[in-house]
Amino acid sequence: MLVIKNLHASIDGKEILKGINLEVKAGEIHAIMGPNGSGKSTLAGVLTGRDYIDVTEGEIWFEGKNLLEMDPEERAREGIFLSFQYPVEIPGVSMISFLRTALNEIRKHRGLPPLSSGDFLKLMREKQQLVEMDAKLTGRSVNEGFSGGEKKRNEIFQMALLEPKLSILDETDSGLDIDALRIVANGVNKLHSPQKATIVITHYQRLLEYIVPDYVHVLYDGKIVKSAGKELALELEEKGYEWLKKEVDTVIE
Amino acid sequence: MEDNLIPTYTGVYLNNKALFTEDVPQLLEPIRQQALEDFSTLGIPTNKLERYRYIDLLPSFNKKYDFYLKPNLLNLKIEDIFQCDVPQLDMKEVLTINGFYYQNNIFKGWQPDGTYVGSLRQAMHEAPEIVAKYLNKTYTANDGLLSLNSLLFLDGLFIYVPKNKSLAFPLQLINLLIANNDLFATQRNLIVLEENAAATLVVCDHALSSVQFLSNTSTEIFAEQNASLKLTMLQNVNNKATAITTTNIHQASNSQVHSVVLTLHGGMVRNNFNIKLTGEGADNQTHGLYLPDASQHIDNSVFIEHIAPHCTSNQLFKGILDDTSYAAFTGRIYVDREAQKTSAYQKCSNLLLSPQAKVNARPQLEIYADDVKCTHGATAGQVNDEAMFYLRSRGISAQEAQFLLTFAFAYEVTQNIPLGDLRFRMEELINKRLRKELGRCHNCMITLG
Repeated sequence: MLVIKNLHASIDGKEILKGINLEVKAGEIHAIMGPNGSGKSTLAGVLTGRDYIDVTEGEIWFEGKNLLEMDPEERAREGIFLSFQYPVEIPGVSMISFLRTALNEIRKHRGLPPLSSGDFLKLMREKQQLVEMDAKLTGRSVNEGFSGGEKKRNEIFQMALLEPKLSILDETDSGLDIDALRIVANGVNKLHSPQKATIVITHYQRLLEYIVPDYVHVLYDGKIVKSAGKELALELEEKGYEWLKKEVDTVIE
Repeated sequence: MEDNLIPTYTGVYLNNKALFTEDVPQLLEPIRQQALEDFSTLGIPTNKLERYRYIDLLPSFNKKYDFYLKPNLLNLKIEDIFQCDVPQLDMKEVLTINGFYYQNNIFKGWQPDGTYVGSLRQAMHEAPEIVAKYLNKTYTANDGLLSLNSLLFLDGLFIYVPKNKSLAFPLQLINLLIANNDLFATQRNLIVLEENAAATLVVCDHALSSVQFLSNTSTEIFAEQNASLKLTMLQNVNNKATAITTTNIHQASNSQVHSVVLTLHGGMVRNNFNIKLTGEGADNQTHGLYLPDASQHIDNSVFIEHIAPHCTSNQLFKGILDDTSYAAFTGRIYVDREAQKTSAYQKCSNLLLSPQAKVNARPQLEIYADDVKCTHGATAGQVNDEAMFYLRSRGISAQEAQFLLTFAFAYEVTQNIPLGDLRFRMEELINKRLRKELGRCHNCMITLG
């Protein structure tokens, strides 16, 4: 589904990603872990089309299409979804008009007719239940006055509504208490299917107790320095990132 | 240029004195004399004056106009002339045509409940004491446009709500400009709310012909103790029109006046608000939203005087500017030595959609009391990048995202529009205006030749 080849990217002339290779197939869950500043969020930014990140080398293919040639909205319509680490508050844009506009754009791209108001509201209620989201929240402006946990639930709620092929969860666990974490993780698990793929970006192993990955990659200094099965996450939890850093730095020296 | 303009405009009065004095009570005589004297000194304000620094009105005044000094007695019903679908609520409407209260309006003066809704000119005969007590009492001899209004007005809307009464319905005043030749119109409105009285007023300005209009309208508002007025102004005149409004508000203790002025269209628009909080605990909210495009010029100037202690005032003005349009905002807050415990807020934010659009925002504070809370701020910029990316990352096109965020920018002002249905209609108009689909108001129908 997703193939990243030798990806180099920089921000303001500073190289952040230094040759990433990664392949994600349908049905798989990949976790990308790593210490702060290793380039995790930059990778998510490149995948979703942040314009302040310059891709200097490499390729990204999504379902056989060149992702780097697409605008952010085209990527979304093709089926890429980012659950934001810090969802932005947008006072004055109602949740309903936002979601309806987004859903209908995506449906149009898939050759489907726009949903009627009635069908849309029905669908919204159904998806709300998945993340146990308070119905009152959808009557507000986008993320306005939402608590940290509500914002993260809202991200997964949008994911449920827009039905992406590839979901990227950027630090979705940050700021969540254990109950909220369980609800959010349950939502993600219910949405997962053999046709879909998920990339979980996280600093801690905690979230991976609930969303069990098929592969764990460790990103350090802009490169994937280690890839293994889910047991790697536990090892990292136990030993921290220091041993890996040492290992990598020794090799480089 | 200016030297020639003073006799041109005083001449309108002096050469038509019969029209200005016929059938009019004595109380107008001193008002005219004072206005004549003041205007002869002040003239049309030029951009050399601090308060008019960002607007040049001389070209608009230095044109030949017809002066509308007698109402055309048109024998038509309101419904036949004009339909406005802004309301669709339990609002009652009255019209003025070129500054004159329309003779076939459903309200023609005293109402059974003791309120008065009708022509100011007629009220001088039917409610002389009330008119004498309030008319021109907000006048100050420091603005030539106001002096000119006092010199040339012949009619307008008069609303009087006596003690403990409320206007039983939201009233919509529709000011129409209709002419075959370029026209100068003057209008004076007077709104008096006695103790504990309340009213909701919506004022819509429309120019219905494509000739050049220059309208100079002044509205005096008196809110006595505990009185409450909710005022919404919608300005949607054509790009050849110059619209000048002066709204002078005097508020007694614990009164509330909440105003929202929306300027959707207008070649050149100047709105003056002069607000005096004279009684303790008075509350004034004056908000504005202006959406100029093409080469329109919109200038709002608000002057709030806190005379009494414990008063609150809040101004929020927002602009969305496109093409080569220009906007200015001047907000001056004066806090008297006696006005302790004043809370006064002022903010002006602008969204520039084109690199050629320009805005000047000037907050001015003049504070003589020591125990006050005052803040002010002004910004100009583009839509928030992070919000833009968020919307696009959900599949929404850049263009639609820009539109949603622009509309959202306006929301902070529109949410202050008092009636839910009205707010909804206004938002629809703004929506159309931002999508450039708005010529006139949506569904506004005029069938007058």
